[in-house]
Amino acid sequence: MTDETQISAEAVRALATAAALPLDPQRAEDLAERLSGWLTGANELSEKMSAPEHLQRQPTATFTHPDPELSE
Amino acid sequence: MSGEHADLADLSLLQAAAAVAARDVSPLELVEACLEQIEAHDDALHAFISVYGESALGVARAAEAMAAAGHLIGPLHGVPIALKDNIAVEGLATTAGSKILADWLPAEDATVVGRLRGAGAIVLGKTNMHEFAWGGTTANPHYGVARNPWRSDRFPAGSSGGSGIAVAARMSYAALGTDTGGSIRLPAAVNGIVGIRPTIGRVSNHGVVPLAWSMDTVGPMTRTVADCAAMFAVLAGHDPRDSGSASVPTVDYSRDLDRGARGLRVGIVPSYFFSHLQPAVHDAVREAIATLERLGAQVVEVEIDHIEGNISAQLTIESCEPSTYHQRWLRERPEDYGADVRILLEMGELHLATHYLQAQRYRALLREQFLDAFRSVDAFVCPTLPFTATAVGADSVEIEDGEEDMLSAIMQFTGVSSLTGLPALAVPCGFDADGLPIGMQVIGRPFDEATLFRLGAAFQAATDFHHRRPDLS
Repeated sequence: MTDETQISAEAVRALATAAALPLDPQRAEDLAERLSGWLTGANELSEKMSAPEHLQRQPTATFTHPDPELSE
Repeated sequence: MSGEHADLADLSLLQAAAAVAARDVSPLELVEACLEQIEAHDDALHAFISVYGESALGVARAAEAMAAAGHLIGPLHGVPIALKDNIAVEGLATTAGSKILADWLPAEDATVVGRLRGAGAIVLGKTNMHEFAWGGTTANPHYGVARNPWRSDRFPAGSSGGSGIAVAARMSYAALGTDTGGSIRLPAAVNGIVGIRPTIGRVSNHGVVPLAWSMDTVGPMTRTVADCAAMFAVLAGHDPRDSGSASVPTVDYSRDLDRGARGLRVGIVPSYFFSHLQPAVHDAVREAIATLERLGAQVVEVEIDHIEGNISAQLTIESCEPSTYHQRWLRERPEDYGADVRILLEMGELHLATHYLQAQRYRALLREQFLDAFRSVDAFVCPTLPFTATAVGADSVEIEDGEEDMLSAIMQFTGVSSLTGLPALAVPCGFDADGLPIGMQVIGRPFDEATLFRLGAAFQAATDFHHRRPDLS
């Protein structure tokens, strides 16, 4: 499992700058704590999906056929 | 209930349609019955954003004349229904529960609206929702905080909260909701009604304000499974105007309603489906599964190795896609969003592309595991959500030990079919000690909604939860 991702208000401001998203200092503080939790989960998922057994897996969001055998 | 037409408001969708077809009841009486309920209770419950009373009465008069002449437009002729307010209706405000779209008048109906009108349904009005469908409480800062008809100090869930209230409170015979992470199934469960999230691509999204393109769906919310199947049959089918629409043939979705549960294999994932939930919900869903067993279904325990992680994937995708759609407004009109939606949209901008794409790749992994499991089961049964209706205004919930973030907790079970694209039916299966409804969720193979309706109808034939109604006196 990855370590908890700690996002500071300063890091939030840097990410917002990268996204050209205006953000006042108080909003950056408010976002930091919640974003830390969400990005911890996202990074755990990234670690899982980076495992060698998943290397060939492609994103798929739709079904093309009602038979599960043929939908893959 | 009170009012001149109180008994009529209690009819199911199919009963109302049959009564019109037999000319036992006029569409005008059905519309009046619904309007009486709205008049009596909507100031307290905030189920509707717009009510088209005069328009609905006018259409009802025309429907009455057509029925008298022996002409029925379709299977829902003369029956009033409600639409979630993110579904476009030509020339009428479609706000998506927002200030930003308060003045938007769509140039055309959404495909699903056209299909309902083509079946003869009468549009009563547009229902309240969580702003832009990005949240699960329907505590809408612009159009009123929606309340649960079973207990007005509790929330109706969301984002299709107004549709859930309208159907449960007999303000409408059925309603349309939209479901990205659970927004049909969650309000169905906490309001004690039925709702289905279709297979991704089965029902057109054309004309619906998006939340997250890769997971958005539209579906019916009703009081019975049979009603749900009938309305679903009207909605399902290919739409060339929706690039995500599946070109898979439809079937008769009511064909198996009377076949019972005997012989069906019901899958459960014990390690995930029955941990981390309130005891009343655990017991009610376990008892529902025991009922299905008594009806002849076989329960099969299955493990889905990678099911943990689904909530994170859900939050990542449901953050990034809405933030993409809202990018301009978030910069130009940030103060026009409610506080909760604004912060979610800002968070979605702060994820990395790799987070989003790994979450999309995880969907493929989870989907593969479920499709593999469908070799040994016909459907899965689990709770719809791990708790019953929480206090209005709460942004956290207590499930086991301590308070948890509402948004993560509420998607514990609905996220699975949202990510995999599999269809899922929410069916009432009990009540807690406070008289609040509990729902179970039946998840099926792609495009196999008929089996979900079969299981749900078998359950409703053996139980009476769907016959109970909230005391609004």
